[in-house]
Amino acid sequence: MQLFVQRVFDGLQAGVIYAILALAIVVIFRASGLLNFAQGELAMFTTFIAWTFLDAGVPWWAATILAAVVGFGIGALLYRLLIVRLGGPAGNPLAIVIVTIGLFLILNDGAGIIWGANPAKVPRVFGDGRVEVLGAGISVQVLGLLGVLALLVIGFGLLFQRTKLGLALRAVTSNQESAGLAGVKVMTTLMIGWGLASAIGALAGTFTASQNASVDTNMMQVALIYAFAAATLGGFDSPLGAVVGGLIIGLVSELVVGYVDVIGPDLRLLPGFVLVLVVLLVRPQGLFGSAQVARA
Amino acid sequence: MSPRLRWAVFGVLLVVVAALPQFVADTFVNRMSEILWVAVAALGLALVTGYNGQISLGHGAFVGFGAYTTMILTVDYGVPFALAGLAAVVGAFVVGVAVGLPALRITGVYLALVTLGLAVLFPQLVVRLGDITGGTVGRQLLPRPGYGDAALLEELGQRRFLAQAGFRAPAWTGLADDQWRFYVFGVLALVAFLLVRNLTRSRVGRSLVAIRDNETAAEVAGVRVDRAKVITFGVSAGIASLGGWMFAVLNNAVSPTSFTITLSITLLVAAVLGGAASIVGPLVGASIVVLLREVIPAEQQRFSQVVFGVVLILVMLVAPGGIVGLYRRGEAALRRRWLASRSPGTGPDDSTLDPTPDVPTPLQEA
Amino acid sequence: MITLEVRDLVAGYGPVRVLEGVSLDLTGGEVVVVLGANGAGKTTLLRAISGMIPVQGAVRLDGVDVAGRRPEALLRKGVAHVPQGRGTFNDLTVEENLRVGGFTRTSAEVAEDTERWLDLFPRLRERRDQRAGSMSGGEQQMLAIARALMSRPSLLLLDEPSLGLAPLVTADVFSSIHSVVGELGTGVLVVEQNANLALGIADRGYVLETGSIVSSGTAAELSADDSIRRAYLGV
Ligand SMILES: Nc1ncnc2c1ncn2[C@@H]1O[C@H](COP(=O)(O)OP(=O)(O)O)[C@@H](O)[C@H]1O
Ligand SMILES: [Mg+2]
Repeated sequence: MQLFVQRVFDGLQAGVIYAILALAIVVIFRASGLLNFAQGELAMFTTFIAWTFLDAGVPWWAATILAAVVGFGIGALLYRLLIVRLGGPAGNPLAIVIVTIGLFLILNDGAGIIWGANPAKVPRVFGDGRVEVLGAGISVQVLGLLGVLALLVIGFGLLFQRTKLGLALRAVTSNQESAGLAGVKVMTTLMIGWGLASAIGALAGTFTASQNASVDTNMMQVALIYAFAAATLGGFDSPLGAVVGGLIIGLVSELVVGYVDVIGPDLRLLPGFVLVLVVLLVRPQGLFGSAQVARA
Repeated sequence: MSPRLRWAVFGVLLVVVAALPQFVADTFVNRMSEILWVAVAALGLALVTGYNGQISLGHGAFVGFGAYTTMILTVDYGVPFALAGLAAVVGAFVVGVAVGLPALRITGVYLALVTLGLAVLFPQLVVRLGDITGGTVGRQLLPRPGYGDAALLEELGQRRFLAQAGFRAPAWTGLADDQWRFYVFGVLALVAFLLVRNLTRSRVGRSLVAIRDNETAAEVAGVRVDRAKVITFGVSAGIASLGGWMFAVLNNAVSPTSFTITLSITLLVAAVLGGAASIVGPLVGASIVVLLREVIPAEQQRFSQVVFGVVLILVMLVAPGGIVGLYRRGEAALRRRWLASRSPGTGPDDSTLDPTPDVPTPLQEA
Repeated sequence: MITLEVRDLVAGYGPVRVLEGVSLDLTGGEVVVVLGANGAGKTTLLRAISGMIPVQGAVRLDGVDVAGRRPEALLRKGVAHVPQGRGTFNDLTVEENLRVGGFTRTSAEVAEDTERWLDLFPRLRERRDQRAGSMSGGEQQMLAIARALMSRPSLLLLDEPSLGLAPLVTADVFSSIHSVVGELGTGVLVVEQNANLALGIADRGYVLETGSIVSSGTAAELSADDSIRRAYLGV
């Protein structure tokens, strides 16, 4: 039992990160119907920026916010300078995927060149404390991250459902031409969407770093795959789905790896991969997604 | 170029390349062999990207599959290289179909997602199956006992050991091993390229283009979209796996680090840079990618990913048809000017003489 | 009150010219119909007027040439455009669709107008929280019109409101248009293939054939014209 509880919390701890990154993916998908394969590397890059601030004596929370702001800028510019030139949401998705992969390479290698490929040390944001839950020692870190995730979900739920910006984002996704005819500034709205996604990604990055107690150039690659899996599972157009999907993927991976010896830690990625294949076969729109996405 | 001129140029090039190994150093011959396996693997990817209109980020895994299948079959089971190659191709076709079935049923970028997972999963799988794959350090395609490193043979003694003496030139050829390998690769590459060429010009191939350009229209025209796509993906995986066979034969060793996501992306760069919707494109792209790594000095190697990234973005922005697409555009423009100068005043204008390439370039279509 | 003068409007897509110099007028609360067969250039005409595609020639609103201005600018000058195929936001609810329609206005105005249009279109009130995509074609068309009215336009551009609707539903939509614009005094430029219903609510009309105006007149004159009766009224 104690081991089980421990594993559940370990799974949640990993799942929170996947969930946050999946949220970034979903925000971009909702705003522009596109997938950004550089999302993870952008998160890593902004995490190095946060680390630079941290290194300069800025407190961790301020460094995180600064990194998110920088991430917002990078994301918005990326949309304005590259994606728009490829036609934006109406562009060829193939070309856009290729461009985001190009960006993946540049950011990954670029971070190594700027900051060095060796992992840099990062303090644990929520400290090293532990609390006893059902006999298992659960790190405060996990609980803190779950809290942050909850705040993010509520925040983005409110943003999308209750604000004018959220309405604009959803209108642009739903019908760009009509949104433009109604006076929505389509370009600006999409820039904000990409900016927001990158800002969320920055949070995912800094939290990953804080969990690993280090930051390195490859830290988000596996997380990106899990995040895509989470978004597939939850539905690409559903923020709630991203979060639930992320937590499920984290839990399933941890439990399968823990209890099924054949798979073991070497094949950590397998359960999530199989889950994605099954979802695509059985319910392509995901748990919470709308059917349209499957045909997109 | 007129078709006849094209064949003439092709023939001359073929003769020159075939003659080269007689005059250049072994390392250069091996470099050309490397270009050939990268080109074959990239060709497999181009079939999916250029003709299915989809992206695979996992073709490196199929190359790995081919390389490992070859290694295990030849070393552990004494299967001849030719048969091992056949098994690698057929096996990859089956895996490709299995992976493609769920992902291809849905359009969009889902294939990219699933294949990305495949690319990352493959090295993990290799490590997990360490007993037969050699785990993280990998294994060599060891030569026959008494020929190679005796100590290493001893160490692996518990294995049913039937290894052949690597991939060696038959005596009757009078060729060095490196040269023989290059010629075999050349023939295989030629076969693969002709196969793809015929495939894309067949009814199936044209229906693929129809799918890529307009899925609903193709459906209406009676093309079985699902099946055509899944089969293409299988064939494309098989071709990449042939590239893996070539890799194993060339390097005489396989290890998981050779088949990471980096390889998949390198293949993508080769296909896109050369021109994914053409058949020569992957060869052109592979040559550049391999030679680029060659000319970048060792201490600057870490910039190579940045260079590849910039190349990908620039190609998409400036020349979505890749180098081959650029060439075709230039050729069409020249021909137009030539026609115009021949009959001033009555020369066709841009709208009547469209530079329609004989093979479509999907990436140009927004 | 608004006046629209279109003079020698030329527009198309890339090298393809669709409009070959179209001129037409609309004054105040008039309902003007442009009749034309499929491919005549009706949609292109509306897109050209509202600044969605590049044009040559003049589009004057109250005497000011606005040709080439972006749709946003036109919207602020009081021109609302309901595109062909209705252009509702299918993933948004009816009420959210209306809120997007009032995007350029204050939230108090939006709240007030929302109630007003929901009163006028009772069917929309019943479906207030329903996704637009789940509604029938007729309801979507009403929603599209209500959404356009949210910007309080003085000129409404309607692109084939009858497209894809059953005859009875089309009649319903046209009578709604008639009552709404009658009450508001909004000018309407509607392009249609369905001459029957369109002429029924219009004051004047034009006939567009392959990018050129070939005849014009009052609704009564056009209804009585034999060639038009044969071509567009199916008589
Ligand atoms: N986006 C476009 N690109 C190129 N040609 C177009 C485009 N849209 C319409 N056309 C062409 O312009 C002509 C007029 O089209 P349109 O204005 O849509 O006619 P209508 O609305 O009267 O049916 C048609 O011949 C059509 O093929
Ligand atoms: Mg039309």
